[in-house]
Amino acid sequence: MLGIIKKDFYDTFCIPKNLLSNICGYALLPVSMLVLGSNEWAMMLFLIVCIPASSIAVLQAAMAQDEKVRFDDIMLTYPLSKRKIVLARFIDNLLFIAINAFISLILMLGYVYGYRTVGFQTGVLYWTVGLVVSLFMTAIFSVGFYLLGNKKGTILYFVLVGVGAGLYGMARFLPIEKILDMDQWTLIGIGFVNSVIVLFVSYWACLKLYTRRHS
Amino acid sequence: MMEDAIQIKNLTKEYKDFSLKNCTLNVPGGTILGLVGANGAGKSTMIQSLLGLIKADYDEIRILGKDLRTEEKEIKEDIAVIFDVSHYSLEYTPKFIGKILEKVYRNWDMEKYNAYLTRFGLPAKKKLKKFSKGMKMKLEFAIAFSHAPKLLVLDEATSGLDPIFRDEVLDLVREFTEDESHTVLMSSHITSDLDKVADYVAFIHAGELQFIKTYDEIRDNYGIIHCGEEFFETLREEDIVSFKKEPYEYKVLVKNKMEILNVFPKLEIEKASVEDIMLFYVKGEMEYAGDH
Repeated sequence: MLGIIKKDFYDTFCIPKNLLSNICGYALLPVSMLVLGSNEWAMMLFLIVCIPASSIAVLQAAMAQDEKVRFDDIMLTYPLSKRKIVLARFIDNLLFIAINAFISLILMLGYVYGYRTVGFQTGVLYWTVGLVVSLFMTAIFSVGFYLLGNKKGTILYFVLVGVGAGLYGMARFLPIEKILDMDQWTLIGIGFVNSVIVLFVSYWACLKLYTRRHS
Repeated sequence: MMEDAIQIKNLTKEYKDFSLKNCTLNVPGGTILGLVGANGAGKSTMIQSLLGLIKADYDEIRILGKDLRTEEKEIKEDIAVIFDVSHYSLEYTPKFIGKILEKVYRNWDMEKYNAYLTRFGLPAKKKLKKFSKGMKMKLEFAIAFSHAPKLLVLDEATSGLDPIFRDEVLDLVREFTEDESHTVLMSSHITSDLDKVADYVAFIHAGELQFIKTYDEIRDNYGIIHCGEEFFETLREEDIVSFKKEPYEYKVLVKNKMEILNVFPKLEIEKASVEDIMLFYVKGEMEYAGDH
């Protein structure tokens, strides 16, 4: 499994095209932070949307390379079960989320102690929400990539944006006030537990999809 | 006598437009089995099934004495597979591939791998995109031999290579089987390659295994007779595998060459190559179930 994880990180950070794209992505963060200034909306955008959205980068880069050369054909001859192959990809993403969480933490501290945009506790709250969103995104987009492959996986992104918009429209029919009245940390706790459950369901679904593709 | 390296009992794989039907096959250890057949005959399906790459139905598959259903991981530690093209990213270097595989195979021997890279003249730090097809194939062999496999599976590995390099590949296969515990399963539609190295030949056609025979058996017993209708009528049905009726003659593939020569000592019987046999089975006008 370690060999596959090593390969996937090489695909993400050592192949020139992907390396350049990652450098640009990360360089854009401090630049945007400087341009947008001490703006709470921008802080939330970085911590809760932009950084979590890149959580799937390792899977995407690995799949793009694998599809080009049909690496699965040789990988399946390795002494690795399909379960471990799929698990390796989830570990890839969780490691990448950890790297992103570290970068996100630095950004958060910059906003808290540099710009003094929000207090430390609110900063940690946004950072934690970002983590939960990252786990959800990994779970959902992993299924998308296993279902549709690298190119069509992005289609799922748009579908989910549509679903998100629909849910937003439906929100007025839900007891939203009651939900918002709850303690924020309780909400995050519920979100975290749900994201872990969704992650397990996603792993199971990805394994089924991968097994079906190679049967 | 070594035990069978591969035992397949009633292997079946159904697709919408093709099926591999009830293949039963035993490959003795320490030998080279050539799996021949036209494109789409079922060679790759059989190989993929017995490697567990695709899900197939079977009564039993044992590889190197282990059950594929329960010991797939252990089996794969002892197998090396080489396809017709490399499946490693062109952005990788041989050195990096070695680093991946040392974490994949329990028996990976980095010193041996580096020795093979040196022997094959492959630069360890050069990306695969700068390698020729021949160099990539040599790299596949370096990879295959570096985790001490007992079974080498070549799936059309020589196709697309020039004759000189194909010959080098066959030398590597021969070298591998110098150790009697090593077995090779080699699928190819280039039958001349198998003429050079195979101990056994299995012929598959339209998803059905037609026969498995030793190469010596094919060489000693099979032959082609060119004759007229009158002589053709005198041949015993059980000696004829298949025939082609051509404008001025019959071309007959026979399987009891020596017995026929005892009856007709002056008869000229042409040697039948694996390719000839394949063509007669596919395009000939008659087949006998008893020969299967």
